[in-house]
Amino acid sequence: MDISILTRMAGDIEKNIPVHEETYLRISEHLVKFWTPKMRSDFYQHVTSNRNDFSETLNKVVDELRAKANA
Amino acid sequence: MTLLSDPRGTMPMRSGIGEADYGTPKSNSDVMVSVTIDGETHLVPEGTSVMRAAGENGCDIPKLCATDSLQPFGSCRMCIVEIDGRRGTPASCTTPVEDGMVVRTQTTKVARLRKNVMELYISDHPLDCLTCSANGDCELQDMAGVAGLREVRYGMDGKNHLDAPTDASNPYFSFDESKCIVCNRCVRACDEVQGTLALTIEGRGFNSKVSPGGLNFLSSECVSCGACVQACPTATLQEKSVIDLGMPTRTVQTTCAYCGVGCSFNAELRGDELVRMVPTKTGGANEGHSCVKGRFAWGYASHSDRITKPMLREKITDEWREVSWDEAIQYTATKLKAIQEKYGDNSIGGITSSRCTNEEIFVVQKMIRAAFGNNNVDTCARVCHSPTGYGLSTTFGTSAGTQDFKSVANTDVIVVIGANPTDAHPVFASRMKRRIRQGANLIVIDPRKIDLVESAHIKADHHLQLQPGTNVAVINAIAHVIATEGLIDEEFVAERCDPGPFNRWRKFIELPENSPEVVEAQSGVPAETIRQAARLYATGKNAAIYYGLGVTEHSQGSTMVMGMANLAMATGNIGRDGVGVNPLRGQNNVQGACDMGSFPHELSGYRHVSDNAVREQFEMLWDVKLMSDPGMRIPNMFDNAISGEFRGLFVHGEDIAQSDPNTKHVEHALKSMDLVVVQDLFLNETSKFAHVFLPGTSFLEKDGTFTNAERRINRVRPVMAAKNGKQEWQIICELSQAMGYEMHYDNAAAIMDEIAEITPTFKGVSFAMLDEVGSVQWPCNDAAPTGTPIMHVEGFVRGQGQFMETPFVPTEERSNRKFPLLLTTGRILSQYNVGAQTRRTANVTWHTEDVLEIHEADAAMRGIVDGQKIAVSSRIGETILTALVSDRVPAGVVHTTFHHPTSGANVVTTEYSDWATNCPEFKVTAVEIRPADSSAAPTNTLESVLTKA
Repeated sequence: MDISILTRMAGDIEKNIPVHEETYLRISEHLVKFWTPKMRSDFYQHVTSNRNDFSETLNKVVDELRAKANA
Repeated sequence: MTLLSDPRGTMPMRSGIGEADYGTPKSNSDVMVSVTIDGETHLVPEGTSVMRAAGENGCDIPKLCATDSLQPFGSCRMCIVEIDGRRGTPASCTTPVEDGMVVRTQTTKVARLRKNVMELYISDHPLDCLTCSANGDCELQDMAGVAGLREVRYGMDGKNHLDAPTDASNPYFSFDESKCIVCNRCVRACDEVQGTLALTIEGRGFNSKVSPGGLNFLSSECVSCGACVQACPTATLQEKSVIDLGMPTRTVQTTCAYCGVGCSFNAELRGDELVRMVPTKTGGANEGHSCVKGRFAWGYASHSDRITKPMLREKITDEWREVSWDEAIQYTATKLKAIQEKYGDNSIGGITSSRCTNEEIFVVQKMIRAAFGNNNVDTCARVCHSPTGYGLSTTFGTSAGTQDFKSVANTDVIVVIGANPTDAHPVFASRMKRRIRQGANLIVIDPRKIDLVESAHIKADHHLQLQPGTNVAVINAIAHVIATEGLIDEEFVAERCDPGPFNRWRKFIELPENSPEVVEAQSGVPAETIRQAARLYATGKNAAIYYGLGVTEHSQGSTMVMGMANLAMATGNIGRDGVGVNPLRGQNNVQGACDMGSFPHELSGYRHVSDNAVREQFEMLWDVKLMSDPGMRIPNMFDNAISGEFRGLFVHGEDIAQSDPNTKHVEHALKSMDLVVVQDLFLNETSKFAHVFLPGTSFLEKDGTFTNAERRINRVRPVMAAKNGKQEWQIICELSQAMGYEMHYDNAAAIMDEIAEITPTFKGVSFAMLDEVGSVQWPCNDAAPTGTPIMHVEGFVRGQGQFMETPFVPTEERSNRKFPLLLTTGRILSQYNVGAQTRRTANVTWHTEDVLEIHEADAAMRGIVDGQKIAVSSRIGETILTALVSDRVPAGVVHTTFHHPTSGANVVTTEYSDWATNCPEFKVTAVEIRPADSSAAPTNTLESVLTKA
């Protein structure tokens, strides 16, 4: 799946979830609940390789989810 | 002169075979009164008419102008009785019983008077009973028999109406004025039942006649719902199918397969031939009413275009070849397995259909999860109501509407948002209009001036004509007014809702950015109108929200659903009769498709695939290991097909090449796959890219259940033998077995038994139970053995109601200099969805092509006139439509439908979608229009693209 599509989808989710201290948790939950493992892993990899292109929140989402996946 | 009267001597049952007609509506009073009729004493509810009291107790009083779907009228004088202590002979239909009343229905006096009245009727009526199409189903004929009329003293030579013309303009029924007795039933049915008020009595005295507004029926405002035909006691208004085929002799009760209202019908047959569909009076959803689609547009089931044999082809450029079922099943299974072997388990998937039964849908998703071994199953609800699932489950705890349809009768403020019920859910619209005529207030939130905004005896108190894409801004502004003007139901919120999220929502919604004044600039809706609408909703006692795809098919569809749920909770408008938040589902079984576990992340009953306890129950029952991660959604399947990871698709009864957005993208995806399997009634746009075509069954051949928008599970019974020789669930079982997973059921009832066993909300449901009670609304289980008409009564399904903050995020699809207009799409009354069914019926009489509604200022600016061919272009593609200059849309907005593949409205719609569910943003596309050379082919119409393919 084209990474630009995943990036747009993640961006849409981030824009629509109000900013709070637990925003990253809601985004994480959303990705785990609705995205396939392949979509998630492709996205994690892309964010990790292009950290500056993504918000602090999305970076945190990916870090947390990667850590969980590796735990 | 001798009359050709019917000798049966039975009372009329024009309502349909086997359905009694008690003449006047039932009284709902709890107070009982005593009445003595012909010497026998009975207790009946206060308010019951003498006619009904007699009829319910086995004493039928003759009648002509009375029928129990209409209020009593008292004009025919056939139902006269004698009542002790009363002068004269009062009409029993208009006389309510009183405690202690003594009634005599069969005296010599009333018999003589009735006979005289009947004699007058017959003196101006054709005496062609034996050749009349209503012979055996004519109340006049029956009443002549009951009255004992043997001759007419006045002869037939006087002034009469026997040569009056017949209006055969409507494709489905005729109006033979010579047979009309001017009983007014058709006029009253149009007024009271349908609410269109298309008919009237024209002229006075002898010249009185029924008239569709001085026009013929086809040109009039008549919507062909059939209420007048059903109400007519003679052959004056008669189905053409009855005239052609004769009177039906047997009936099978089933459920309509068009919209999400889910009307019950009696399919009336003569031998094995379907003659007519008559709405069932006891049908929970429709209570005897119908629309033009369900009542008349069923001929597609026998259309010559039906494919009844399986077909294969190696390449989509090859000709189809008919094959045996065995070959088709084995070929499909072998190909799918080969794809998985080469590209992995996740390289195939399937789509379930909201037009199919719960049982068919359940086995399709089971096949995908168990035989395909993945969760790549999605449903066409993805492109319509998936945001409803997300929004209502997040806030209330379950993915369904809160009320039954009857609830609207107790609503004081009706809010219609992004829905067009008179066109898309006409039978429910009639209920709604009845309540509005009784005095309920109405708020319409829609960019388009739908019929409900202003039509006969209906006028919205407020029409919030917002710019497409600004729903969330407007709903927030309404909530802002409620919060800042002290209109929150603090007691309800404190008792029923989670305080943390509520307090956070309150802080958010009170922000100035959500004020009507700020939102006016974004939405175009005057701030004062928003304020008035908010006050009305919050203070109007019982307020209910009804919404459609104008809510969900947006980039913030899920946010908007949560915004409406917030409003209902904030004002305490949830959990009782007359209130609630209610999705009007587009297709007959959208609710069921979602309930049955069609989404890639959920098993039946909305339980996530990652829930180990739930998954283990399925694994035990199905004897297979299931995946614990969500599978692909439809758009994911398309994107992965284009990138080469997804190679095989089973499409069950959905025409994705016509109904999904950005046609070019969908076609690219379909062309990229190694195997596309389509199961449907007809070759369609999607099958142009298919390698296997498996013929399906129409609703008239299916055995199973549909679940409508009010969660009502209704039986679908086979009216005729399956034209393809198999039920669809049998085909799926065979394919599953060929894939290596054994799946067998003795019958559809056994599938429902399995659904009930594994799905808590369906625990009490079985075919036997439905056959006994008619229908039931889920949850139906030990806690609610007779079902649940209204949800969240004591508490929310999720426990406490959860307020959600709903920030307005404008869509990225905006008008600009190149594409200055916003296109929004919708439906019309006579056509249904992609038109596969309705285009194969006489409904094309009303709608032969999709047209583009355009405001006169936008048209004039571009030199466009009514009826002109115009090119409609977006950044995605271009199509050609016919212009309809209209005041329904405001300047800057254009509207069209997507019922015809030749116009292909989705050629221009974009890839944008709801952030939470990926439901496409069908309702906002920036376009430009220009006059088109009528000879020029559009550059990227669906047809041209397909030709190239």
